[in-house]
Amino acid sequence: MSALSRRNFLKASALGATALGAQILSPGSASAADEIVAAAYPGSFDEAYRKVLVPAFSRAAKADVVVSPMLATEQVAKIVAAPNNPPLDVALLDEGPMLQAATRNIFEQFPAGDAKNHADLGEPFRSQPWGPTVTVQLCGIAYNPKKIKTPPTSWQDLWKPEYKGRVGLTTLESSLGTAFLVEVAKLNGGSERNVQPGFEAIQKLLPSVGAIAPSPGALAALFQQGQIDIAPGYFNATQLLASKGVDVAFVRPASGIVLIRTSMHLVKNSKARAAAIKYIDMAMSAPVQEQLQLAPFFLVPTNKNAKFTDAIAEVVGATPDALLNNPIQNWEEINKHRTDWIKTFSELVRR
Amino acid sequence: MDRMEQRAFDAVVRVLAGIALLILTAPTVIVIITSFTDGNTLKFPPSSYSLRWYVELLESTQLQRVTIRSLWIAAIATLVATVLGTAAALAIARSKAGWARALDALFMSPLIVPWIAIGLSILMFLNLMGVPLSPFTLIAGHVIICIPFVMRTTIASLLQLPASLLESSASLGAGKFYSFRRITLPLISRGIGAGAFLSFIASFDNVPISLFLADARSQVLPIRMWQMLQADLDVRVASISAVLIVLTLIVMTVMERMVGLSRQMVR
Amino acid sequence: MHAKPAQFGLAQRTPRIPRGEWQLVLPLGALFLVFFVLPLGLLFLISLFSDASMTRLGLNQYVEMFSSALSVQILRDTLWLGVQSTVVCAVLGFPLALAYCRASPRWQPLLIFLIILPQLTSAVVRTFAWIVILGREGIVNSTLMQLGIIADPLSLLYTNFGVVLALAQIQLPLMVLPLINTLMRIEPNVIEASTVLGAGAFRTFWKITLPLSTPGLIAGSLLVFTTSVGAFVTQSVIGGGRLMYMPEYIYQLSIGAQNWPFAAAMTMFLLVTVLLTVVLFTWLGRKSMKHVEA
Repeated sequence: MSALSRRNFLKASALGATALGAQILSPGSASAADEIVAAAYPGSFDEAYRKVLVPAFSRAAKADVVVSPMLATEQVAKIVAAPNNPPLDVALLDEGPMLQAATRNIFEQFPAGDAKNHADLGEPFRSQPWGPTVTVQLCGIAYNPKKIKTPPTSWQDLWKPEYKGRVGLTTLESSLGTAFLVEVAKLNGGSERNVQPGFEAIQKLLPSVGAIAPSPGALAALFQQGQIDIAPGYFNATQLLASKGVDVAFVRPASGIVLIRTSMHLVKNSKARAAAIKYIDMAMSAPVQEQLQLAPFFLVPTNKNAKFTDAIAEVVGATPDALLNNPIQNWEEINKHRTDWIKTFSELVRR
Repeated sequence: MDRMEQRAFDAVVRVLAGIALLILTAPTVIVIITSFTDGNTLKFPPSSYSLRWYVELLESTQLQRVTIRSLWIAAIATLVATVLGTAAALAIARSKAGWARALDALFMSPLIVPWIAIGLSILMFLNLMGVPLSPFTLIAGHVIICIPFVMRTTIASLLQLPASLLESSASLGAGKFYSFRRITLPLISRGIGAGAFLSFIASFDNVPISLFLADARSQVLPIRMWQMLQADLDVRVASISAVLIVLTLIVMTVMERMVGLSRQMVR
Repeated sequence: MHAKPAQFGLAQRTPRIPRGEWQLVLPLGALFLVFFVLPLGLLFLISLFSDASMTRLGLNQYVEMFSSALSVQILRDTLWLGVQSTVVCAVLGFPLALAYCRASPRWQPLLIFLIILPQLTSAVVRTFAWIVILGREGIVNSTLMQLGIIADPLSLLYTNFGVVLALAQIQLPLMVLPLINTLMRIEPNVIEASTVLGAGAFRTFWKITLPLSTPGLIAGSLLVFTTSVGAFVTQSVIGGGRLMYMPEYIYQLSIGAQNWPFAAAMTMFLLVTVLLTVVLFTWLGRKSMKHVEA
């Protein structure tokens, strides 16, 4: 080939490659259908929504969904960074981060009128204006039934001397860690306003602590590697682990399971608002919620019309009302102090 | 006496070198062995073996999509880094001028400036400018950290070029671009190739930059793998890691044949 | 530049750079300006805000950084991690470099492959292997227990030692390659001369080989130190929740707590540390070069 035509060939293929690459890199602009980006926590939530919610939504709404695995803080950070052109249309947040995010003016008040399933939610699940609670995460005790023969019955059991070196904790960055601290504080005479009894109790626990994981997911790794045998944990995460053959079981503490409300939110300036609302509506619907509670997802329904499976009922009670007999913490109050608590905790646990 | 001491010295060297090699290679071997487990967990050694998790990969369309996206980003970042880096290398490689030395230091600095600082600062900058995150901003971030790899090997190659070649070409009346294309480029192509390879790997495996700059729609493979590890100990992390390792080994061998990779790294 | 030197066959003179080539550096320069220089400059400016919502200027962030027990400890731990990493890599890397130089040319490419392979695998891949190795029921512990050396499993994971070990795997190439480069340039005659003159192997090493290879050692140490200090994934995964180093802290401050000014201040500290290390090592390098030439 002469130099000239070879150069042209190279140029042409470079242009072609760039065009192909641009096509792959910028999704969705070619299709006529609406596309929304919805966040989900990495792990069981991500899997659950992908397998159940996304197909149900796509069928009903004739729109596409990209599920983006992101933790709560990451979602908020990315939305706050680009409020006029948000990277997410639907956010999924625990109550703590949700209340903080709401003050940053990134959510639209949820138009309950446009979502027919909203009225079917239990009272505490539709009480705040920013978005409905689509599931509740259950905080209880996770333990290794092969190594711990008598199942623990209360939070206090973590302090038993026979568990020395085998207790796991997670930092206060996660809702799980914070909820545990507050619950322990309450059991020792404190409250959301005064967690000092909680810190004192944790200090007494430290000699028993085998490892402090940076996230609830990392706690799972510790169970699997046999590094810890007992720790606070989420019901759905624990069941998922058990289904994979890890020796771990969940137990409901005597004082009740700490409920953490997890809600979905419509992000302001979303480009596919109607589709986003429909997505959230689907997440609230009874059929979808009933499916989401099946193995291996175990996401607790919040719709009054969704019947609990036996597995869920065993842990929370047979009816939605029984579910509400479990403690829900005051995250408004918690948020006021959380940053200080994180500092105190870090200083407390440093070797 | 001398010989015993020599032998003792040799023994010490060999033992320490052996430990070093063990540390270097054992984890890789473990990853590969773990990937053949039949169980649901990342235990080593596996209690039973199978190809199950490789089959799972074939069915994981989401993982495949993420991988292809990472490949594209790495390819484009490498292309841009190679073109821009080679051009800059030509300009500054043999110059002793102050500005050239300063630029050399600047372009090589992403090697020692912590990537987390680079990622965070670009994110802050984009937020300030109101530029939304996109695959293009991600690629730009990757190019910054890829440049040192390209420039290091390219400049090394350029410095080994006999200057007389270019001078004779010029004195014979050849234009600059012609000289470049016909003389310089073929001679430094091995250096460029090695640099491009390292740059591709650096971009494909990158976590710190992608952590800050990846937008919600496009996930990259290393971050997805990290999430899989942290969230539910998905055993697919092992099989996909093994696949990546084997592919890397294959490409390394090809690069060795084509550009003499090992020679490029040790001059 | 005159024709005369060419007549004597000297090829080492500086070639004339044809005019106009400097423009080739503009595209890259522009990219670096927009995506490197300006952002880092902005980082510095942001660190000068006294509060998280960025309304007032002040040096509060730096005061906070050096007075808060937590951040001082994190800073110290991170720098100490870098030092430990550098020492381990030097102690293990030097013998490996020596072994390479002595190996036959047939084995050398294979050795290089083994040395750089960890660098070519992603941080995530590497770290989960270390979890499996260092865990309570991991390989190290099971082997040691089977051999009867220890009775209870050692706590290796989530310790500083574990992090250093895991970091060693990626950092070793950074130390070994520059060392190999330098060692290959040392005149074998010098070493031979020393042995002929009666110096033992260890003495030759200490007095001759080591000083002569200082440039490589310094280049390697610089790379190892700066990468260890910034190795986000390994530090978090192997370090766990109790050990926090600067990168994780910076991530939590920025994305987690949205406290951009404090995150910026910590990052500036990290950058200044790196810069000082470069200056220190370059100065050491220059001093050692003078030594070497002598």
